[in-house]
Order: sequence, then structure tokens, then C-alpha cells
Amino acid sequence: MFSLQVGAVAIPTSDIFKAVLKGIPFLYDDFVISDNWSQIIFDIRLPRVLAAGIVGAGLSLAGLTYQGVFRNNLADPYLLGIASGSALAVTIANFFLPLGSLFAFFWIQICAFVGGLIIIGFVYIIGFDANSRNFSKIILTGIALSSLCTALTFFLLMLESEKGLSILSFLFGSFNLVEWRLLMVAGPIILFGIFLLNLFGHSLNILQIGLEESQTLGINSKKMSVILILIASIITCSAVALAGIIGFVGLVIPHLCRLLFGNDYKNLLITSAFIGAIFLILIDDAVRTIIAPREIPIGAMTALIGSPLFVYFLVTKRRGYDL
Amino acid sequence: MKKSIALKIKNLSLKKSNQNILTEVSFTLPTSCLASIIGPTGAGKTSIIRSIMNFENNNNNDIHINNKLSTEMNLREIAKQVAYVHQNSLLPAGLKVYDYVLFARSPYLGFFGNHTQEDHQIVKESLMLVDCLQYANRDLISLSGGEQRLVIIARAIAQQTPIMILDEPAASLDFALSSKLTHILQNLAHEDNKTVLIVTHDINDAMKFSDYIILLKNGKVLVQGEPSIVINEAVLQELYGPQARLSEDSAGNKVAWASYQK
Repeated sequence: MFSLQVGAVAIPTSDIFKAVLKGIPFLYDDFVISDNWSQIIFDIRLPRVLAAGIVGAGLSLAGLTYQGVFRNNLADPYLLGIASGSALAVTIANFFLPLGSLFAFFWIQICAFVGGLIIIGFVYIIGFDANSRNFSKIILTGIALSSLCTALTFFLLMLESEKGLSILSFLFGSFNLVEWRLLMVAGPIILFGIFLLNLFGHSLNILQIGLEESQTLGINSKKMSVILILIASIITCSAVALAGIIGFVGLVIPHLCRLLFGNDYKNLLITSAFIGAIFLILIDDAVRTIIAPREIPIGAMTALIGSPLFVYFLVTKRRGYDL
Repeated sequence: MKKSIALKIKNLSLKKSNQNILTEVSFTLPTSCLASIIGPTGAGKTSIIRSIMNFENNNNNDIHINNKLSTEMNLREIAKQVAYVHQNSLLPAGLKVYDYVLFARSPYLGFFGNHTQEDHQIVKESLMLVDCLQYANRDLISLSGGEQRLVIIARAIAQQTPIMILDEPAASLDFALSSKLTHILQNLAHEDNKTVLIVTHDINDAMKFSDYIILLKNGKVLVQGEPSIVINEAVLQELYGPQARLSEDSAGNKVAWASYQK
């Protein structure tokens, strides 16, 4: 409700309630609310708030899943190069398609999948060793490919100065361009991914004892890892297609939840999704109000608010937490 | 009571980088049996158990687990038959001892992974068996190396399988804990009719407590059978070199030792 209120135009709480209740057929038809405000609430802010929640939940769970599968606390959608791969593919697609149209968004969504999956495929083939107990190689491969994709993206942006700026602002992460029709494409994919990942809490718990040992407990750990990576990557790619690159959430929210709720993945999958959603909704509120009517890049804001918060929890709530 | 065959391995071979790691290893272990695989470092001991657990890509696998070919069993079926204790088990940070041992019930869980009252009872009994129930709520990595080892073994016990395979189970255990572990494993074999297969470097313990012993050299079985029958000084010298000796202690137990001269 608060998120619907704030922005370039501040709308009173009573009017938000009226607008929401008026939406219920026959009951509150006599409520009077300005068409402009109604439009701002339903067509601009509501899809944006929902998108921030869904993307926040999705990225947190994707990060948590990568950390669980690779048993490496540095794993996140960005360090592994998936987001950069998607961003490169989205940049290429944007040169040929207009930003914002539904037709273009379908293609951007597909390109984001292809780009992200190609990169995670490379990372998996080059860096993944099932017998290894140390997954640094996979992180290093991810960092190398991520840097390569970022460099190529910027190279492409330099070539096309006209479209480059709008693509660049999209790549820095923003919910500015989110509309219902775009959310209706990416949202269900991310939500379905979140639902699927929540079924794997027990398996993620067991994967923590290593691929071989979890195999001796009847878990097909290699197959399970591939499935989990795939779901997390699809979530990441959809998030990138919808809102560009939003770092920090996938890395820090899972750690924050570990600090607060322990290491049981069954709990972590639920709490990370919930806290990730709230975190990104609040960040997006801040982004569009602090220097309204202009917006702060959301990636900068996630780090600005999230970092001190995370350090605070790290210092005060260690409780046997081991990075 | 007639013992049935629990584990049968026939002509097991393994090659890595054109090197023969195992060559035609065959042995059969019955129920109610504590067996040990002994051999110098690099003899292929761990490779045998890794092959049994399907971790190695042996093309010519002929391993029968309770009369069923292991390659025809899925992971869950194998997990209900064989519990395995890794040489260096990975212990995740922030995990409670109880939850770690509860992992052992995974092969028996349904789709949603909900544990039954019976699962919890089994976990408590397994922890009690290794005298670690008092650590149930402690963080696994806060325990000492020896205590951690006992908890890992409790996990294997909680898996409630007819066959248990343990790679160096007494590593990082002091003398008292090691003796206690041997006693537990003997009970599991003789009281609970399990087949317990241990990989160990301690030949004296293996001779003293095993019902069956398999001596490996360069990936081949040198001798196998009852320790009192198959082990003599000549066999030890073939295995460990001319400095290996075998004598008897005051209780009549065979004791292996090495003689080095300046």
C-alpha cells in the first residue's frame, strides 16, 4: 500500500483504498477518485510494485540456489555470468527491435534465455567438476565470461549512440519500463520458477554434504544440480529481460536470511523469496522518491541500502554463521 | 543360521589414464560379517568401494548387492541397501548434528520429504548408539574431529541398510574411541546381521576384529579369507616389504610390526 502511495506524485492512503475498493464490481461504485490517480495506481505503480516483488523474490531464490548447488557463498546470478550473458543478448536484440513493445518483449525474453543459458552452459562445462569439493573454478569461469559479456555489451553500446543510452539505462536496472503486458509474460515464468525451487528444499539441504555423498542417500545429485541450475537461470534471464541487471539481491539476501533463520534450505527458500521481494519493493520506492521526478539507478540503491544493512547483521547476529 | 550372500564382486577392474587401478578383484561377503580391506597406500582399496557405490566408470561392473546387479538398481534402491561413510566427509557449516543424521532417512522419504515419527526415533537411537545424543542440537562443525566422525557413522547407522561400507572409519579417532567404534561395528555385524566392510590401514585391528580380510597389492587381491588362516609373515612381507614382521602377544593374538635397523 505504501509503495502505491509514493513516487513523483504522492497519493493519500485514503485514495489508494478507494481506488482498490472501487475495483470490486457493484460494491463501491459510488467512490469518487480522479482518473489520473486511478491510472497512476493501476497502470503505472501496481505493475511496477508487483514486478519489483517478483524480481526480488526470483533473484534471491536464484542466488540461494546457485549458492546451494555450488556450495559456494559467492555464487550469484551475476558472478556466474548468467545476467551478463542475458544482458548481452538483450542488447543485441534491442538493436533490432523497439524497446517496450510486447512483440519485442517476447523476443527479448527469448534472447535473454538463450544468452543466459549459453553462458551457464559454458560455465558448467568449463568450470563444473562433480568430484571437486571446491567450486572456485566455476566462480572464476563465471567471472571471466561475465567480464567478456559486459565488455562486448559496452562495445555494442558504443557503436550505436542513439539507442545506446536507453539500452544502457535499462541495463543498469530499472522498473521504469514495466507494464502489465510485459509483467504478464515474465511474471508467471518467474513465479513458476519460484514455486518449482520451493519443491527442492530437502534436496538442496542434502546437496550440502557433496555430490557423491548425497548420491549415497538416493539423490541423483548431478541431475538434480542441472535441474536446479536451469530453473534458477530461467528465473534470472526473465528478471533481466523485465528489469535489466539488478545486482546484490541474489548475493546478499540469501546470506541475510541465513544469518537470521539458519541454514535449512526449506526455510531459506521461503524466507529469501519473501525478504527479497520486500527488499526490492522498498528499494524501488526509494529509487523513485528520493530525487523525484528523476530516478536513481536501482543497482546503486540496492548496494547503498543493502550493504550497511548486511554488515550490521553480519556483525551483530553471527550465531555460528560461517562464510 | 545359514548366512546368505550380501555382496558379491566378480572380476572388478578399473583403468585410469591407461593405468590399471584394479585388476579382476573378486570377493563375496555374507550377512553377519565384519570384513576389512587392507593394503599399502595406493593399493586400490578406496577404488573398490567407490566402484561398489557406482562412483567410478567401470564398464565391466559385476557387482551384486543382495543378489541384484548394482547397475540395474537405481540410486534410491542402492541407498536402501548400502550405507557409505566417505574418507573425508564434507560437513556443511551451520547444520545441527540431529539434522545431519536425519539426512540418512532420505531414501525412505516421499515426494514432499516429510519425516515420520519412526525416522526421528531411528535418528535418536543411532546417535545414542555412538554416544552422541547429547550433541544433537550442536552445530556439526563445532564438534571435535573424533566426535564428528562418530556422528558421520551415526548417519550411516540411521540409514538402516543391510550393508555398511566405511572408508577409514577410525581416522581421527583416539585409541579409546577407535576401540568403541570397533565394538559398535562388531555388534552391527553380529547382532544386527549386517555386512560391514571397512577400508583400513590398521592391520592389527583388522586381524583382531575382522571375520574376513582382503589383502590388496597393486590393485589385485593378494590373499583373502579368515585373518587367522590367510595372514602370515610371508604375506605381510610381500605386502609391505622385508621389514614386516608377525609375532604373537601374550594373549596369543597375532601382532604385525615393522623392523627398521640403523
